[in-house]
Amino acid sequence: MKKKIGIALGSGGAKGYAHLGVLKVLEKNRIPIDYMSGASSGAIVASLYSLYGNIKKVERILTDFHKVRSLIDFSFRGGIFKGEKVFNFFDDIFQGKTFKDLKIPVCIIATDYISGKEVRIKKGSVAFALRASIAVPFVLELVRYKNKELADGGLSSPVPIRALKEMGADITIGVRIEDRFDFNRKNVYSIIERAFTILQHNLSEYELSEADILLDPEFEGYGFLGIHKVIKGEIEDAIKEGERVAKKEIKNIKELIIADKVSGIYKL
Amino acid sequence: MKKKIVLLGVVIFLSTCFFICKNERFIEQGYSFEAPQDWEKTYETGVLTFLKGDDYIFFMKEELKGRSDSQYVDYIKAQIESSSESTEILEEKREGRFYVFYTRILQDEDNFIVGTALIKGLNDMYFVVSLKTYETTFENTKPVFEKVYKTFKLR
Repeated sequence: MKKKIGIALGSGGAKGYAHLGVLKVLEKNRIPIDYMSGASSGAIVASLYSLYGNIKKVERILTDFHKVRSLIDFSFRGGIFKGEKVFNFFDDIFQGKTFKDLKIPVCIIATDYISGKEVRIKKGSVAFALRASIAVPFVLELVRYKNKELADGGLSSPVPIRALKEMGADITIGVRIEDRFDFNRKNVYSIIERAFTILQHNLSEYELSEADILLDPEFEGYGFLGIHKVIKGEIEDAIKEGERVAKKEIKNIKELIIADKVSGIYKL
Repeated sequence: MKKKIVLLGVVIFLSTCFFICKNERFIEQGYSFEAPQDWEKTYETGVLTFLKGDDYIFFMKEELKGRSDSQYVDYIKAQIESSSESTEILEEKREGRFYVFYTRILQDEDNFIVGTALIKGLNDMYFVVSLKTYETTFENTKPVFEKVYKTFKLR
C-alpha cells in the first residue's frame, strides 16, 4: 500500500498566501497529496486547490485583488464585516459543489463558539464551510448552523494535523503561518491581539508535535490578520516565503515518502 | 624515430584524457557507471538520481533478505504497479548480467514509461537502475538509460 500524504494548511489571515508557495513547490516536485485540511485562510487555499488540482489557477483567483477588495461589506452586528459578499464569492467559485465533488479529500475546520470545540467539516456545501472557517470573531459575523455558532477554525485547531490523521494520512505535513514575530506595544488592541496569538501558537505547537514535517515560514509586517497587505496587493513576499520553506524541506519529504516503500520513488 | 614515438605517446595520452573527460565515470559505494551528460545529479529523491527536465534515472541497492531473484523482480514490478493507476509491461528481457523490462504506467492522467534494469550484486545485494520518463520523451531518454545501465559495473 502506498503511503498517504496529508497536508494541513494553518490559519493566519493574509499570511495564508504562503500556502500558495508551499503547494507550488510540492506540485513542481510531483509530491502526491492524498488529503488536505485547513483552518481559516488555510481552508480557502486547501479547498480551492482540491477543486482545481492546479496551483496556478488558485493563485490567479486569490491574487485578483480588485475582486478581493470588493468583498468588504460593513456590518454593525456581530462583526466588522457581514461576510455575505465573501460567501457569495465562494459560492460563485464552488457553484453549489459539495465536498464529494472535490478532487482531493478535504477537511475544513471551524470552531463551535458555544462549546468551544473543534468542528471538522467534511461534507455538505464547501462555500458554507469556508465562510464558517474564516469567521474571525469581531471581524466577520459568526455562522449559525443547527444549534451551533460557528467561528474561525484557528481558535480550536490552527494547523489541523489530527484531522488529517483521522482521514487516513500516513505522512503529515503541517504549515504554520500564525503571527509570532510582530509585537509592537502600540495600543490596547495590539496587547489583546498578542495574547490571542500566544494562545494560538501554543495550541498549534501541541498539534504539530504529531506532524512528520513542519513548514514554518516567517513574516514581517503582517500582524495578526494582515488584511492591509491584501488590500494593497502586497503579498508576493508571503508566497516566496512559502516557497523557501518548502524547498528547504523537500528532500526530507521525499525521503519520508520512499522510506520503506520503493513505489514512492516511481510516484515522484 | 625517437621524436615520432614521443609524439605518438603524447597523442595517445591526450586521447585517453579526452576519452576519460568525455565519458565521466560516476563512482558510488559498490558500483560505478558512465554518468549521463547534461543530466543534473541530485539526492533530492532520497537516492542517487540524475534529472533532466521531468525525466529521471535513479539508483537503488537493496538486500534480498531471503528473496529469490524472481521474487525480487516481482517485488519491483509490484512497487511500480502500486505507484500508478494502470500498468502494462511493454518489453521484458534478460540481457547478459541485466534483467531489463519496460513498463507503461498511468499517473494522474499522464502516461509514463518506466525502464528498469536489475543487476545482482555480491552476497545479498541487488542493484536497480530505473528510468522514469514521459512516454513522449521516451525515444530520447531510452538510449541514455541503456548507456547508463550497460556501463554499470560492480566494484
